[in-house]
Amino acid sequence: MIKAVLFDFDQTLVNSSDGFRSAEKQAQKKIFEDLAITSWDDFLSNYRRLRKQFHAESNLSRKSLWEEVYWHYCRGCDSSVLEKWENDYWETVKTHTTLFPEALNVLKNLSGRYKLAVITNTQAQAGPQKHRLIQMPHLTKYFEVVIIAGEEDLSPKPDISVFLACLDILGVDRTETVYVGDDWHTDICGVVDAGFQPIWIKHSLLSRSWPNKETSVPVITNLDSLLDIDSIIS
Amino acid sequence: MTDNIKEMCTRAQKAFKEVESWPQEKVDEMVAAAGWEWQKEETAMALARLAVDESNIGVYEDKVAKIQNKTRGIMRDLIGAKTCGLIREDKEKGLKIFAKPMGVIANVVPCTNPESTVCCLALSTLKTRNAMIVSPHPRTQGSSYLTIEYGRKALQKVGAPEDLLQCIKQTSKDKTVELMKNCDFAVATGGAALVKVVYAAGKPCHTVGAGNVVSIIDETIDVPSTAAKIVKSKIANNSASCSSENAVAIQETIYDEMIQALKNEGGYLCDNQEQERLRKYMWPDGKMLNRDIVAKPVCYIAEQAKIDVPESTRFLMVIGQKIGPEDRFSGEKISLVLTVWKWTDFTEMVERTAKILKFSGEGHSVSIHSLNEDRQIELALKTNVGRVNCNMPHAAANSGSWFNGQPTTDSLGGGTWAGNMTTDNINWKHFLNYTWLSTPIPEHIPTDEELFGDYLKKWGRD
Repeated sequence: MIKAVLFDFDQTLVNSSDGFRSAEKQAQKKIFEDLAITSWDDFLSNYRRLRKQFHAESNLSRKSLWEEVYWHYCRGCDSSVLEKWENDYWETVKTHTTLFPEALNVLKNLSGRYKLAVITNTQAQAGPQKHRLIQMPHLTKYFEVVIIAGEEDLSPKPDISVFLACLDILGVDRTETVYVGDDWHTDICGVVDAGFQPIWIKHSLLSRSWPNKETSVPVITNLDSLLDIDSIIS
Repeated sequence: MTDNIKEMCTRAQKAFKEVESWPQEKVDEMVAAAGWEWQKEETAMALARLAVDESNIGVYEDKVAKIQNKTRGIMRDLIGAKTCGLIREDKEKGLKIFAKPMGVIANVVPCTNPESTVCCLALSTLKTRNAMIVSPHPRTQGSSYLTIEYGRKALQKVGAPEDLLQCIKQTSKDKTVELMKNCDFAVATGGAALVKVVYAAGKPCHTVGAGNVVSIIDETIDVPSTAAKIVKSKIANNSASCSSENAVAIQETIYDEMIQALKNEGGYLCDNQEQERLRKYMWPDGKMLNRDIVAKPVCYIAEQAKIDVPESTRFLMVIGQKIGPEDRFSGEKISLVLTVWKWTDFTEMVERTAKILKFSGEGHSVSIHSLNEDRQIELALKTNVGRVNCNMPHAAANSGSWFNGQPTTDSLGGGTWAGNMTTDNINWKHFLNYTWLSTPIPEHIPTDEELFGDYLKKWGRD
């Protein structure tokens, strides 16, 4: 019997895809101009390759990624400028982050029946800035546990320890838990490794190309489907 | 091999301990095995092909030749060199000098020469019984890795520990920084950003500086053959080498003749408008050199800069206008673009060269084509460079060749002028520690006369 429902944050409860797209575009433009190169295609392919590499290593620091881009082009960079760009980046993401329309209703409904928790990876910003999630009390009030993985000695997802730590705090067993997330690598694979039930959300309001995976993991396209969890996982 | 840097260092340390006390003969056999493997044509071809494919930099045929020549050149320099145990004795002073290895050496390699730099430095570190871990450039990590794989195969053949040679497979800045922290010594062949990272690690190290070779040409030389030499050097590997000529400075009485000779060798002299378009393309922000042009074919550069050049063009020429940031053509270009200066007074041109080097390339090297030995010496005395090469194709000469006595290397020190430890061509001598065994000799305390004789005669004892 399911007693707890765990959630990812970005592209699961909120739609921040436009924010990330926009922030990425702005950052790429600044770096390209600062590098003083002319082949945009070459730059973009290197940038994307490195970003993929960082994502696979669950290294979410934009600053570290950008330092690596400069390293690739044999250029030094000003650390304080990159920190400023990083803050601009997250400000842009924040501005473009909106709750999925059904999210609050679904959480309100589920909170009476299950223990709820959210696990999101850190923004890895230098400085005292907090994750956007912390600045959304109307959302966090539904969760018994809010974990920013990658901060305060917690490993980032998909490391299984963060999922198991959450279960410990909630006092539930892995057989009694489902996890809802959008990212194949950090969410679904992590949860499978941790030994409990994932639900892959490919929200219909997102326009993105999903990884082509043959899987038995249940897929939903809207949070409303969670109102009947038993039928999803059966 | 994995990229766990600490684990790699542990393995390197273990391999180093195994060979730390090896005798010279055994070391020389190990070096010969690696040298033989790298100079093989099939090896050089495989490495050159991968390097060109990965980086889109340079010319395949030139790279094949370079890998073979550098490897064989280093082997020439290593013949008879004593690097193990007692290497020197001074009976009069009661001294015996013992050579000792350093340990684990980090080798940060550039994308312009990702294979030959590995061969050059690895032969030197093997000869001195050190272990080496390569941190490749991200663009060419496959070629550096493959170079090390060939080396490891050679070590295995003669029963030497393979882990004397290792390479990071998927490199990153963080891994390079971690390698620096865990090694005993570092050598880095690259630009200012790299030097900063290496020095920040606080380990003893050798670094190199940027080039910006000016080649001064006077009226004493044969114009056509000098033009041929310069062009041969300029177009080698699409000017990927820091030793490639960046400018020629021509004495006014032979100026027109030399320009024509350079044109005959495939030079294309840009007019003012073309030069400005090229400038905008080469320095998009007016400050930093566009990395997209480095060692690219001339047709690509011309097309990007919208310059219509004949098919036979091998390099572009522009007229030098000012020295310094207001005319970036006076600095290093690492491309098939050659700046042309004109001079009437040799001493003035030497001073101008010193100014050019102050702006870009100080510490590296200059070139002179002149039969006048006084001029050669004046240039050597008045410019802050590690090397002055006379009457030679500079790129082929500067880091050692069959026709001069420079030690073979791919890493050229620029001395304190370039923020480096040495002005030498980095070679095996830079990877040794020395222990001086001192025994008593008959005491001799020098007199005032012996110590200060000439001074006292002239200035008295006050």
